[in-house]
Amino acid sequence: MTQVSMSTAYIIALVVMIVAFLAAYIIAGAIPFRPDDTGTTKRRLWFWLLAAVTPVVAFLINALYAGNISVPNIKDTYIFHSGISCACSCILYIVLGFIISKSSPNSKVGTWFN
Amino acid sequence: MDDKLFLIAIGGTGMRCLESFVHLCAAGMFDNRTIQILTLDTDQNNGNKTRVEDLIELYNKVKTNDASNQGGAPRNNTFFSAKLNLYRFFTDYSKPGRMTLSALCRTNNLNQKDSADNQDLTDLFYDAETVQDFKLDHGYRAQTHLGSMLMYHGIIEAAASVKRGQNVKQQEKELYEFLELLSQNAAHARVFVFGSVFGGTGASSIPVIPLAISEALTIIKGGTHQLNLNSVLFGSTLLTDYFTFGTPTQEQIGHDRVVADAKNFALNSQAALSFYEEDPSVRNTYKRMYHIGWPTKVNYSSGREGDVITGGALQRNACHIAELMSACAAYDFFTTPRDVLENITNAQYVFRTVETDDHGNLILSGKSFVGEKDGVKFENKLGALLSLAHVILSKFHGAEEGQRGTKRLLDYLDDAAFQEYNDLEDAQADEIDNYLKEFAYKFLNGNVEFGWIYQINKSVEPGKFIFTSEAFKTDIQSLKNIDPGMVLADPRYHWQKKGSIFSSDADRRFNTFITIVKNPDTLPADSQGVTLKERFLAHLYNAITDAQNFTE
Repeated sequence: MTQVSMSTAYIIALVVMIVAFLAAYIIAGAIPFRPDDTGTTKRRLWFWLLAAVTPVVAFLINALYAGNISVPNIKDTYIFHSGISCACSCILYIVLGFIISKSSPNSKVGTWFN
Repeated sequence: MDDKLFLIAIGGTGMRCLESFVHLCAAGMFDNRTIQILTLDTDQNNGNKTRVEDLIELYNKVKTNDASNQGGAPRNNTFFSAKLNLYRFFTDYSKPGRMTLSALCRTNNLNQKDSADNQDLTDLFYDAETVQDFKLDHGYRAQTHLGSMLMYHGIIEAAASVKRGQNVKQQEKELYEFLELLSQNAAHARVFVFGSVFGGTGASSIPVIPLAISEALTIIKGGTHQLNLNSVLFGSTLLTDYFTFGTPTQEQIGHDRVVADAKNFALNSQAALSFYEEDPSVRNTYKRMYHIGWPTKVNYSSGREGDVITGGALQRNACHIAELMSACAAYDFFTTPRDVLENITNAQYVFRTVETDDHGNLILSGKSFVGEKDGVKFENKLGALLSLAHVILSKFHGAEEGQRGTKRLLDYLDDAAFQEYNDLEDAQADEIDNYLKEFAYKFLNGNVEFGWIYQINKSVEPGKFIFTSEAFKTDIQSLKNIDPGMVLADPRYHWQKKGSIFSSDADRRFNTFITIVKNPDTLPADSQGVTLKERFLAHLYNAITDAQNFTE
């Protein structure tokens, strides 16, 4: 029988959060300042879109992983923890975004929360 | 200690040279300097005079933050870095008894014989039917033998009026203030005179200015005071004919008596240059005379009908590259080490040649104007101001009627989370817009009205004036899409393209510019500006010169 660690759910959620955050950061940098458009709205949209997508994607990946668990109560426990990990990843994404935005107000990511 | 700088602009051409000089100050060519400017004319309503005085007033508004710092302070490494103080003097020939030479010379206390002798003497030098009776309020109309005497007389008369202290006119007060400052700083002062040698007022006045100023100060301060003409360094343009206009009709000559005839300009120039070469008082007084000429002549009557414009408000001619050359002559004079000028015992005549292509078209770069040493600085500073003009007028629609480019830029930066200059008032932002419109262009009733730098560029065509063709687009649609990062010819100074490769090159350069503006390293130093408005202008200067990869 394969051992299942609940920490896997949190690791998966963390990886998804990091990828989403990096994507938001790169997208913010790629959106140019145009004379008729500062790009602020687009950068914020992408930030929040990825914030919403993070827990969804993390949960889906965890659900796929949970599909391989044959013991029902371990599977249920895993899904429970994946729910918590997805919520935590979303909150962590937003908190990290807030900190980075406030600490670099003059960069493009500075417009996420300014 | 830096010498104190004084500038005297005489007559219509002198005013236009001054206009170019003011724009050089706006570009930041005179860091940390205060320049005292005297406009000197006989024609108080002259269009060129009004235009440049309005421009200086606008320049000072741009530099002024509030009532406590009118005209601002001299700053370093920024736009509008020099402080300009304007004094206006004109000889008043508008009143009865002063309108013509014969009226001015009329005396009531001579007996018949003396009166007749007086008239005979006057007739010897000045034609009785024309020169003695034409109206002087539009200037001396190329009658330099008359103008020299009258301009000298005008300055001395003003000094006497100030000395009496009664009914002193405003223009006499301002002349006095200018002369007083010169007197206080005589030990380390430089005076540069702008004027042409082929026309009327400038040509009349250049030879007599140093002596007239000295005599005026002697009158004002008492008989023992003498302005030391050895310690005050004088320089001047010798600007020969570069424009022409239509020949006056017999009818116009009939009612105006004297009308300047452009056909005589070349001869006038030749005679003037011979005079300057030989006259001992000029050679002993002036240190340097900058001989400026131009191979082609622009026709100011082209497209116009009716009488030749003799002066007044209608005399507002387009700007010409020769005037910018003259302004750069002042730059050379003001920046030459003092000991070099002091060691000149007899006036030095200087000139510069410029490059041409195989077809004889001019190729002008920065060094064509200010020499090898400062050529790159000149190109970059003037280029930076032109880029700023395009940013405000094109990218932020400042050229359009009813639009406020600088205000839009500030709102844009606010939206981009850069609120450093949010407290700048709308009126202050509008002043910057208004100056840039005079410098570059504005849209009026669906047409483009071109400002100074565009007019200068046009006067060089088909030659090349420093910048790329991108910098001087002329139709409204192209102007709306101009790329401010591509004005300089040398690709080393083009703004880098940063951002998504799916954006246009112009957008990527604009992206670079705003990114640099938002960078904390771009914040200005105290030497560049202290008030919010100065800091805003200095910030933009830092951002643009950084984008250009230019460091002084």
